[in-house]
Amino acid sequence: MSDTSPLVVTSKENTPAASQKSKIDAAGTEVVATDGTTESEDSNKPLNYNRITDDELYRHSSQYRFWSFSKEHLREKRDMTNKLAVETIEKDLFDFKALNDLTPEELNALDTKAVPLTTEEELKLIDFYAKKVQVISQHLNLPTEIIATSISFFRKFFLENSVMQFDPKNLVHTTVFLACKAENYFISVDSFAKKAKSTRESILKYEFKLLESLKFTLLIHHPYKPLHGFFLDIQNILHGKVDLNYMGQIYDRTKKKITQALLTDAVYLYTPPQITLAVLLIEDEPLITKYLELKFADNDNDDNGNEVKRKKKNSIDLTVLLSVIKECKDVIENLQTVSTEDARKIAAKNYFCQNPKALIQNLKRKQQQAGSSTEPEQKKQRTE
Amino acid sequence: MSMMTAANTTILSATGVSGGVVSAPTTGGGTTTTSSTSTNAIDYDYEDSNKDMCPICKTDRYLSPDVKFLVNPECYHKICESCVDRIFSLGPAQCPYKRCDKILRKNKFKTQIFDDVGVEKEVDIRKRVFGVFNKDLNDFDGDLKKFNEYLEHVEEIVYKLDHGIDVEETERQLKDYEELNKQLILSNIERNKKEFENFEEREKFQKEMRLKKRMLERQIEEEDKSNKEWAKREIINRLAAASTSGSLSSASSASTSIVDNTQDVIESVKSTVKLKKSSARRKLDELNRFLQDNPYFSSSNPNSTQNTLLYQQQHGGSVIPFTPFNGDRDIEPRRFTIEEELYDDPFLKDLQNKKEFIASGFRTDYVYERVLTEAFMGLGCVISEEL
Repeated sequence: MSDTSPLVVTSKENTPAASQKSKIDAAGTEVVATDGTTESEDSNKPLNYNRITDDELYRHSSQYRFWSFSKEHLREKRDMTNKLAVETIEKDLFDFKALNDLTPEELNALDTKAVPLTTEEELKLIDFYAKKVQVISQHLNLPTEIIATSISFFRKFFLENSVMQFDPKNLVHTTVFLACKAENYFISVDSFAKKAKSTRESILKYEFKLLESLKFTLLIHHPYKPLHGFFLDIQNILHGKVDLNYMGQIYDRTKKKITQALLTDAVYLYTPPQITLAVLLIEDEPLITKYLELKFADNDNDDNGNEVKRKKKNSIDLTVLLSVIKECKDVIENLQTVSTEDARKIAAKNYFCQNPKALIQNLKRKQQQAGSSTEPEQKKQRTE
Repeated sequence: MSMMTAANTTILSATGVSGGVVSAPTTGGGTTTTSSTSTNAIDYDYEDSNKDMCPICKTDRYLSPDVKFLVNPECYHKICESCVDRIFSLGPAQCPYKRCDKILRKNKFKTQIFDDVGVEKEVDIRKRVFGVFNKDLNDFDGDLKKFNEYLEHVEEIVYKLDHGIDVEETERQLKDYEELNKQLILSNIERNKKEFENFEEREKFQKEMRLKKRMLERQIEEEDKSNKEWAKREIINRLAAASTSGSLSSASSASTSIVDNTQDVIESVKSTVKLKKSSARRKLDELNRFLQDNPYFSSSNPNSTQNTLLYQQQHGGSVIPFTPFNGDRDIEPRRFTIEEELYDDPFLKDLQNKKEFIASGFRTDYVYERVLTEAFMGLGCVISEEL
């Protein structure tokens, strides 16, 4: 009988949403157009038969389709998220002012302190907490890939949602827990809550919201596997010219640095192998340049077939690749750590703009404290 | 006492608690079983937890193991066979269940097949609806989409009837359809019957063939066994004959010639056994060949293959086996080659030698393939230009 129940999507790779679909279709037709000329020789193959290049393979991934952006697009997206949140916050503030009878002093305090966050401030807070996610999951002794997945989940969530809608503090444990599940590393909620000193309810509260914000795409291509691949391929290409011990050291150091790189926007702007090469470039520039030259140079050195070869689908243009990697390297090296002090300030601002009432009460208490100096000590103790 | 009974029954009907134990406030917190206090009114609930007891006469399976329960599709209340005989033998009567005012007839009673009444009901409805809506894919000229829409429509009707939504409207729909498509329905019933007969015939044929095969196999086995025994005996007999003749010749050469002789004897006996391979074996081979060509024995039904062929013709092109990217992924030139002997990977080399990894099918070349694919997957995508 026909299946009347609604389809529940739980697979890792989600089907493309309607908005994204057109983009993929465009890419798809492009492929067919270029393939039609080169593969006319296999006449017994069906019409829609085509071969998938390594790049095309990545273009099929949800990471490319949903979570890759150009710099401008990324900026726009963040501004949009911020704008939406600011609108609701400002409306609430307006209503609050209209509903409550406030003294000019209080109004003044509201105008100066209860201000919605800017995109930059949001970003700082997110970065701060993303670092926190890393620290916590390291503290829980989770494998590297799960740490990476938690960081990615967390940052993606706040790409879709503003910190003014969801307190990042509440999502730290949820993302780590979901990452464990997504990476098939089983921990029960209760034991996880015990380890993380949290509660089952607070961990599960935002889980679905998180999944929804991730568009149910749970498979993340991290740069660790490409690193392993390059580690092997360098041994192959530069056989006899590199010290294997030295390669091992490079591998370990790069692995650590990749986790740092995941805290930057590089993950949205570049593909995993590009990030890997960029980090390797930071580690040992001469080695990697030499490797890349030996690996991909033959495309350019072929004097006669130069033009033809470059157009071959699976080859790589070395100059383009190098420039992309260098850009990526700059982005990674540009990682700024947010101090706890800054984060605290922003968090306070975030709190007051959402809860103007608390600000007013705070103000009143201070006034009382200043006015009645009879029992200030007790009050101080209480506030502290 | 009668006051108390009344109070109990009102509580029952008000709260709808199943007729087990009901706490009555009038008894001061104590509990009373309603079934014991009430004698005249039958105030059991149909969701009685005891599955093996008739709620009317309280016959228990424990005491009378061959009690049979029947239900009537009007209300699906469970009643034992003797009660049905007793109550309904004089013609239609009301359902003896409390608060059930359905008039039931004896001839409609049937044995309950499913434990769950809901399932039982749905199956009955399905039977009825599919008796009317009995088109199949061929009636739509193989148009899968239209057929699916039709099935969806049928499901809708079943759902509505089952859940009591717009029952009258749906019943009318059903009747209208029946009137309009009488001819088609009848012919479809005829066809289904034929198909079913066909199916049964095929089943029968297959069963027969299987039986025949098994018999032949057994025959072969027995023959093999007897052949073996015969060979054993034959060898001993011949050797005995040889040794008696050998003893006549000189004793010194006997030891070597006997050994040769033995080999020869065994060889010759074995070859005769091979030749003796029975006719049963030949018959089995023949049967197998016959079954291979027989359409009855191939599991796929001729109709369905016809349909897929039709579908292929309509949609053009041959069908390739499913691959996620509509084709192979290997493309020339590959961005990497795997040179396993050049790699020095202490971690993987370590795993390679562990028994638990080997046993579960771990192979380093898979790992190499995967990490290298990931290393070059999307290396040439320039996101800032593409998106």
